Amino acid sequence: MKDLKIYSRRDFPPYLPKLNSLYDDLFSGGKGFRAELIRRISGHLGLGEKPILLQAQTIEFIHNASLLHDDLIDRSHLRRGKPSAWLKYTPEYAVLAGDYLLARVMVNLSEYGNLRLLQYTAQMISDLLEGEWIQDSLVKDFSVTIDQLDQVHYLKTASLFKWCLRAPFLTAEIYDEELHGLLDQMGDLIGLLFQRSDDLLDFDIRNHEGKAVLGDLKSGYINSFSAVLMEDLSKENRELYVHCQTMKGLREVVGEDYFNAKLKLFDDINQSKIDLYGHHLQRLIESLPASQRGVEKELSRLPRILYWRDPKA
Amino acid sequence: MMSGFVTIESDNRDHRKLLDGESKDGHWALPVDSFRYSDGRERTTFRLVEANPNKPSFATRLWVLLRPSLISMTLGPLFLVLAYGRFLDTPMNFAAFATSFFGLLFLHIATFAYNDYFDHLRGIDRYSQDSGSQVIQKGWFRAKVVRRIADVSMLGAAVSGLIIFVSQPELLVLASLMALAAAFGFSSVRLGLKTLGIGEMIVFVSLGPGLVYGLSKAVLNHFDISLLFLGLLMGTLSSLVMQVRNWQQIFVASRFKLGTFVSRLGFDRSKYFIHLHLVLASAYFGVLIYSDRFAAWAVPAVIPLGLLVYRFVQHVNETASPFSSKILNLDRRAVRLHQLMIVTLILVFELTMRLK
Repeated sequence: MKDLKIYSRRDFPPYLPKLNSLYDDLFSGGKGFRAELIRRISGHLGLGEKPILLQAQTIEFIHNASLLHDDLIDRSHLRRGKPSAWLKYTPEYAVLAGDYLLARVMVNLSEYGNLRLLQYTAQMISDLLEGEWIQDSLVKDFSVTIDQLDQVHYLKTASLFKWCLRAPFLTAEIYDEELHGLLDQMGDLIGLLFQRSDDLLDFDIRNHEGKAVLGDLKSGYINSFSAVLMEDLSKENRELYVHCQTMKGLREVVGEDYFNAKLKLFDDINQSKIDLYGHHLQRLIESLPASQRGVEKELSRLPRILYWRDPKA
Repeated sequence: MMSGFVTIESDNRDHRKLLDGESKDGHWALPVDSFRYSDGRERTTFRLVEANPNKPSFATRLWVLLRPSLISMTLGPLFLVLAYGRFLDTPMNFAAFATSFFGLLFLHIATFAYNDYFDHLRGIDRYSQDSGSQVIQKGWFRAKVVRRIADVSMLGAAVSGLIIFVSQPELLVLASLMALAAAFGFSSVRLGLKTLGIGEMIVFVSLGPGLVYGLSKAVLNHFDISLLFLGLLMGTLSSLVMQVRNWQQIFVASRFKLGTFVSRLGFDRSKYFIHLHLVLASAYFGVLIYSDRFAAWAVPAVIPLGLLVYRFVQHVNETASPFSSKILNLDRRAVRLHQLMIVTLILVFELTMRLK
């Protein structure tokens, strides 16, 4: 199967000023991991090129719409190393461009005509927006716990991963309740693991992509690893911690041994999630017919890619 | 410590056994996630672990299960009635007091142990780690042990209640009315009474005017207007604790479609509802404490309470969402308010009596 071209100028009206330039910027540089995951799973379900492209566009449009809105909400100046859309094209255009992507998703899916897929996508967008909404209320909340953050991440991050796992089966008109329940649980786990790993990047842990460090903390957001790190800090050190600007300074505040012990604890907690994911995967293998075997190969690699960020996986 | 997982459906005979915490090959089975089918069946995944080697002593675990922080809600009114009886110099039935004490204590244990057990079965405590005492989820008690503790406590409460009712038959009418209200409120799903606030009303009556009336009749054989306000005050504060708990759990309640009154109101409007409780409690307290029976010196008694109420209101107003850290200990603050109210009133009754 040839590479998927998620974004094409021809899919959007040529008469709207700035829209195509904004999308050109937005869609260049993304890894398209979710679309690739869908492509791989769909390949094992015998889906054709058109439904695969539809799904890939759906997830990437939704993901990118959330980035447009996210950057504005967080007042982030950079996205994938370039000026954020709200800075370059004005906040109004960024909001409209995000809304337009979500509308396009609904138009495309309605034309395709799979009602279950359409309903599930609408639910996912709703969960995603709930997560965005709640997350914004947590800015400058320096005592938030990892359990509270998990609830947000289930809505905001895991909802997209669940969609990636379930949508190919819905598109293939496989509606088995048990199978979808299982994929739902696996999606929750893998989404949470991805988010937690992403939170570790902020501390320069397994940061192979060279992502900017301490971005969350500097913008007043306590991420999941921060919540674990801050758990046993004294009041004075917590105060110092939230004002840290560099990793060197942060490690000095919490102490090297403390930092490493917390990192190990964090990895252990997440390893138990990976074990649970492995258990569900085994059950999935047992329930899949021979014709759909191969899906598990794609799914078994996910913890290594998404949590451990293993470049060889 | 970890040794794998097992997934089992609710119509499998072993499902209930595992949920009850019965061991499988010498391991404890702790539920970690579940999936509910559209026909209501459930599929639960258990993590099989070796018995928690770091669990505290039995006494500590039992103490946590009993929710000592909430005991003032059940036993507080009894001691208030006792203090009010001393203030009035009314003869007291000590046998009834002792029976009521143990009856309420057993009822308290049974209520919270059942709550832990059934929330565990329904999966609510798995979803929200801030819900219940978490003794089952931490591997401190097997679920069936929690159920057994609840059963034994309920038996103790029933025996104590029976003794009181035999000696005070008119209280049976009150008890029957409350049981009827409870049955309607919690069983009639079709009428939707639970979502209309009947459950909250039951808590208000049974931990407020109903309880104070029953206790004052049993222990003092007396009831007057001050006791009515005392009951209203206790009921309002107990309801406040419950509303705050519901407010903290509004996300889980919405996701599980548990229609609490607070989830019908919505997050922001519930703040006003919580404040309304404080206004009503302040009004009842004012009427009670500044009626002509009490000395003017009782005025300063309101200061610590006022401060606590002020900080409580501030905390509620600063809570930005159900995920805000501000909301985490709000129920404990409400309980502290309840406790300080009881201590303040007992002191006022006692000192007014001594200074008379």
